[in-house]
Amino acid sequence: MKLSLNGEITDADAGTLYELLESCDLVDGVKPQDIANRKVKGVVVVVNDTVVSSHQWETFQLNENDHIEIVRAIQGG
Amino acid sequence: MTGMTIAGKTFSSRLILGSARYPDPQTMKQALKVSGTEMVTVALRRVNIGSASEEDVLNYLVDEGYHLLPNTAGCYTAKEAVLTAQMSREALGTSWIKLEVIGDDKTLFPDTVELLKAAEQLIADDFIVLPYTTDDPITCIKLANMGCAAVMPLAAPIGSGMGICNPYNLQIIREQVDIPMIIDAGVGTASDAALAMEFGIDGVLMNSAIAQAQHPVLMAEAMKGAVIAGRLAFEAGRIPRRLYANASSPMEGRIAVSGDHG
Repeated sequence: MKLSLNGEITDADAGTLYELLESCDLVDGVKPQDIANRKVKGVVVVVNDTVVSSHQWETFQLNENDHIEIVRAIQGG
Repeated sequence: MTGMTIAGKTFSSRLILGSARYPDPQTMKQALKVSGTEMVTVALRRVNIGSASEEDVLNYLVDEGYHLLPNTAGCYTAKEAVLTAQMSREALGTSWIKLEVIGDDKTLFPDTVELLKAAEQLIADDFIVLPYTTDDPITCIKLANMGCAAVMPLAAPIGSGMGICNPYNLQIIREQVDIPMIIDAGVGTASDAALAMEFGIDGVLMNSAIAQAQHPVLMAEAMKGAVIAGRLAFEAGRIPRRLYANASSPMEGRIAVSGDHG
């Protein structure tokens, strides 16, 4: 399934958002499982311009050409 | 010195600091500590998939108990800003948002039309909105009437260090707006912060003035002192300006000297 993940077109073998997070190799040096399990603070996932709350990740079904953004809080002014 | 209350929350420090552009995380940590600030801004950006981690500053800020103020920096439309605010609420569990809707890359001036649109939508969605705005009194009055928690007019362009470019507008805004008013952007040095506070402005938000100073930790201390001094001077009530002198020492009881005074 082709997805846009943080601006990159990716071929992902994932049914749910949680599976996608788990399948990512490395996310800022943080284990994707830890993001999926909310062990990392300040991470948010947006699918097609809508915030997907973390408690929905396990059941959130991805579709072909979904536009996914994984975002986190960083230093800012 | 009285505290600064925004949306029912009182801060003893009237200084709000950005967390970006410091030479390194350690300097940022020291500068924040020395400044006495209790509220720190953060931004939201894509996670770099496949790259190594940078130091996690967010955990530090949370652990140290700073009140986080996420921003919508880099947003050019109301739609982007509203989505970013929703993202920050999910990511950080706070409804507070420093609302920035930028109109132009070179000046980083706000796009007022988009700003008002975004503010209205976010207030309807129960956000605590602190908008970065131009120093236009009419816009500030509209933002206040709409239900923003504060207005945050710029002193000068972001990161310019030009100081307070239009003191008259800021004083008009102060007189016209009853909600908290914070100077956001453009401060260069301590006297800029002190002057803002002397106008009765509730607080000052800055980032580059400290982070990009030659000695950020020293500048953080200077800004702390300036904000306190300016606020105390405002609360003390300054003397009126007058064109001619007014002797401090009594005129009565002066000695008489014989001879010609010419």
